[in-house]
Amino acid sequence: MTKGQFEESLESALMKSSLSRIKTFCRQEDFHLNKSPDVSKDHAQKPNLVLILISGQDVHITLKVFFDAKKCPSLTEQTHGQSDQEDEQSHRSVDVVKELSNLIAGHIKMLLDQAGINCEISLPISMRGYDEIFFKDDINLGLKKNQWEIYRESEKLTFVSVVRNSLDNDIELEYVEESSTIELF
Amino acid sequence: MAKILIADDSETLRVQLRNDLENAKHEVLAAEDGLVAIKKLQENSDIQLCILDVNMPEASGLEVLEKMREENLCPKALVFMLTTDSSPTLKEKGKSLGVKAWITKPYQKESLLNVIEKLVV
Repeated sequence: MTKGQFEESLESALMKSSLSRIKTFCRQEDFHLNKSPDVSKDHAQKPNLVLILISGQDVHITLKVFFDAKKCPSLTEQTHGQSDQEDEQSHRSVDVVKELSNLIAGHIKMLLDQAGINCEISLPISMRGYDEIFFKDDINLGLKKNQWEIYRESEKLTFVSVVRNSLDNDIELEYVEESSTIELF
Repeated sequence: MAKILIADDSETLRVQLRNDLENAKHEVLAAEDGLVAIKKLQENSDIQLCILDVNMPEASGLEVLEKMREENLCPKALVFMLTTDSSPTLKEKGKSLGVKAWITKPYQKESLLNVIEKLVV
């Protein structure tokens, strides 16, 4: 697998993992993936951002999730029920997206581990305001950026991954959907 | 029925886990970080099972477990790790500290309840 093919496999894994994890964690099956969203017009409508890092010596991935915490009730309705209070709804949605980003990062870390690439994951960070202060395109030379969308009816989460890959060798990255294993000792 | 401590920094995960365990008639204590988990363990010597996340603020799940061993907190309690991190190094460390089950998130309710039924109740 060439460097380019590895990066494509990684992008594909991130998209598949984000869809499968949101379905499982939110206990809702009717989320869908849009691989090529036109997000240029609605960034301003997604004031919340959750960010998590998957970092190793040769591979560094920044995963960002943009969303409007006040307009994503399906993220929380199975677990918390519906809330009439906007602030409470918003707080809970942010918590769901933080844990979702943690689930995706953990899954990708496992896939990289299996490919012989050691990485660690950060705690997720949440912030407000759409602003590409991290990794602006004009200072992003050599980084591979991808974006996709997970949606359910009118609710949308925009995912952005930024990958720095300095692997010298050809590495195979195989996608394995391994949710929820229990290993007894 | 078992008395179970859950420690995870995600409120959503704690709510899901609490609901699933309480619906199965278990008694649940919840902690939002490692330090709160240690405090609950110091105050509740009759805890039978700890379900700990690994990556938490203040103290990780494995640090909580080290503290349990150092201070002999709830010596009869079983410990399950519930985490996204499935690296062999961490599992080995957990195993050496006496972890009984390594559960990869997102968990499946039925599988988790079956393991609790088998090992704890």
